[in-house]
Amino acid sequence: MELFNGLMGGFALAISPINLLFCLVGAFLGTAIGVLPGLGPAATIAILLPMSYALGSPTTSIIMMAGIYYGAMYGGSTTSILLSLPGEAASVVTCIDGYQMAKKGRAGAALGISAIGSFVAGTVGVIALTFIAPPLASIALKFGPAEYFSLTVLGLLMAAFLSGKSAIKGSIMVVLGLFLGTVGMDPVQGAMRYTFDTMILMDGLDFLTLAMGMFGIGEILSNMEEKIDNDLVTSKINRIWPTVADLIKTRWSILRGSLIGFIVGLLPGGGAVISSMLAYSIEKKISKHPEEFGQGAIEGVAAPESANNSAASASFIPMMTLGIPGNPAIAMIYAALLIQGVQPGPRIMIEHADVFWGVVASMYIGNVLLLLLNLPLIGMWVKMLKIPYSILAPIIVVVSSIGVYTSKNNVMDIMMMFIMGVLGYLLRKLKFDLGPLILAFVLGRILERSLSQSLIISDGSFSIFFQKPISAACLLVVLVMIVIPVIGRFRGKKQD
Amino acid sequence: MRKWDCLSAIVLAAIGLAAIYEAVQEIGIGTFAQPDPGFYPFWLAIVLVFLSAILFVTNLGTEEQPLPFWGKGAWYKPCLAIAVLLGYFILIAYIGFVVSTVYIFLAWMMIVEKESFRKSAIVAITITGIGYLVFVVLMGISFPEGLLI
Repeated sequence: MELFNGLMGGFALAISPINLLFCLVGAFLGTAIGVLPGLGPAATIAILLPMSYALGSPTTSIIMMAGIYYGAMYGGSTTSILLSLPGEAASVVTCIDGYQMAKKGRAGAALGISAIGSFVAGTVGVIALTFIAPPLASIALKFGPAEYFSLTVLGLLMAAFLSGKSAIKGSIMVVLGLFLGTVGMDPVQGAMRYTFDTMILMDGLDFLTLAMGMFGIGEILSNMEEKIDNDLVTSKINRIWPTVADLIKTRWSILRGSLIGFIVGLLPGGGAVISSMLAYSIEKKISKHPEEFGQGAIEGVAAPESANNSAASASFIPMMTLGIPGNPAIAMIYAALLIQGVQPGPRIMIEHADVFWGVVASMYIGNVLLLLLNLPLIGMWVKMLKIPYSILAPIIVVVSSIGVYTSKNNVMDIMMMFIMGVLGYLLRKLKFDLGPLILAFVLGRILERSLSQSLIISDGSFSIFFQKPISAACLLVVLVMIVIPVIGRFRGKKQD
Repeated sequence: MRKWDCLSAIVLAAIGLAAIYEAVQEIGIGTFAQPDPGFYPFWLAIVLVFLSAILFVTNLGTEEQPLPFWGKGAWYKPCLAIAVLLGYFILIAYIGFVVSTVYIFLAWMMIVEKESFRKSAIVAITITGIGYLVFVVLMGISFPEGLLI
């Protein structure tokens, strides 16, 4: 009953004109950046984070940012299908069969099934979020510092292992992110750490500056090496609705994609990108006609596009209930909540129930808005692809600079953003994934606080982490995750 | 990539070692029962050095096809973009919003993207005008005072 009341209260908030407007703005912006190659949801939310200050209400700003995140999952498929150019990383696998369908004159059916799959999966994801989050939060209320420490370590390790190709490089990024988080004043005793006696570092590195620099400016610099060619948009789309046969053929693919996406979305480090790849490979494996995959199989579009939307909804669960964001885009939303004075975690249901339920309710509405935005307006989205990157890039630079400047009215922050941008570009060039770094930066404070508290409670004994069952279970998983690849490597060497 | 991975490992290990020195000498690490502010970064730096060592060791040896840092001619545009951006960030601090915004569009489009002056100037003036209207007039953001706003 409490759940029902909460959700109804959320709907009452979400349908207020201002929240409805920003839900639409978020869904619209999300679709736009999903369509445009070279700008992902994490970068866009980073660039728009300062708007949180301007909007004032945490519910309104998170409604907009959530809309950007799941909207990007809808929009990402458009360029994948029409140009074989993923507008968003979670739509990479959609290129395989989506583009083949477009070449055979079935672009409309591919776009239609991807929008329908996204809608079904997004809604399934939000329903599951509605029912799973409250009980999970009440369990998490009983967590002490030891549980938080172990859970954070597990989350960070999973992010390191699942994000890029190299687990070592991912782990280095985690440690580097945690380390960057220690710069500035120590939160307990007020001592200065790694500030080199400079004023700008005394307050610590700002999340906004780091995120905008690494994701916004860094991404622009990386894109300079690749030619983003938008001249290829020639596909004519006649009919956007898939046939009844298409719908029947893909019904199980959509449901399987939704389920896989939801489970992967719950995992730290998982998120939309991995879920879409996993859904595609499972769909291919269990298909009666695997040879059709790669040749324009509609299931190869439906499953991954469903999975990435479901994962986007699911990834709100660990962030909202445990206070542990699982991927960079969700980390940005986490930061936006902090900017608004809302601490994500189990107490959010008690202290800021309106924010939680308002955002959840807006996600139901947002999914309907996205379906309405995507299918009839497909022609407009395709036209938008003609905006050249030569104009888009300086717009991103100007908006980012304004954003970073307005957060503290300090010009030095703009310079710091530039330095972080160049660092982000170099790290990308060296094949280091920035996702784990940004996650670790956000989670650094929780990790340090929970470690210090645990050690003080236990008088310096590490046994505290193994006495609590949840903490011990998390650390056991951590151990298995580290040991298995090491054994595998040794075995491989022996066989060589 | 191996050569670059080894080089990255050396740089990261050096950062780690410097951080350990700073934590022990300047901040203080305390004990397990009473950790001081340097305790947490100290252990992070130890892990960083350890992981860097693994990255270094696993990438030792010669490569059959070593990859250059930049592909042929790929350095040109990012470096040009960095130079243009540096100019922008200096300009915004000393000259103000309008001139720096016009500059970034003109410089980016003409120098980095080799667009025509005419097209760049039209885009620069139009977007700066819209930006000024939205950010300065409507949102009331006060930019750093320069020679020109």
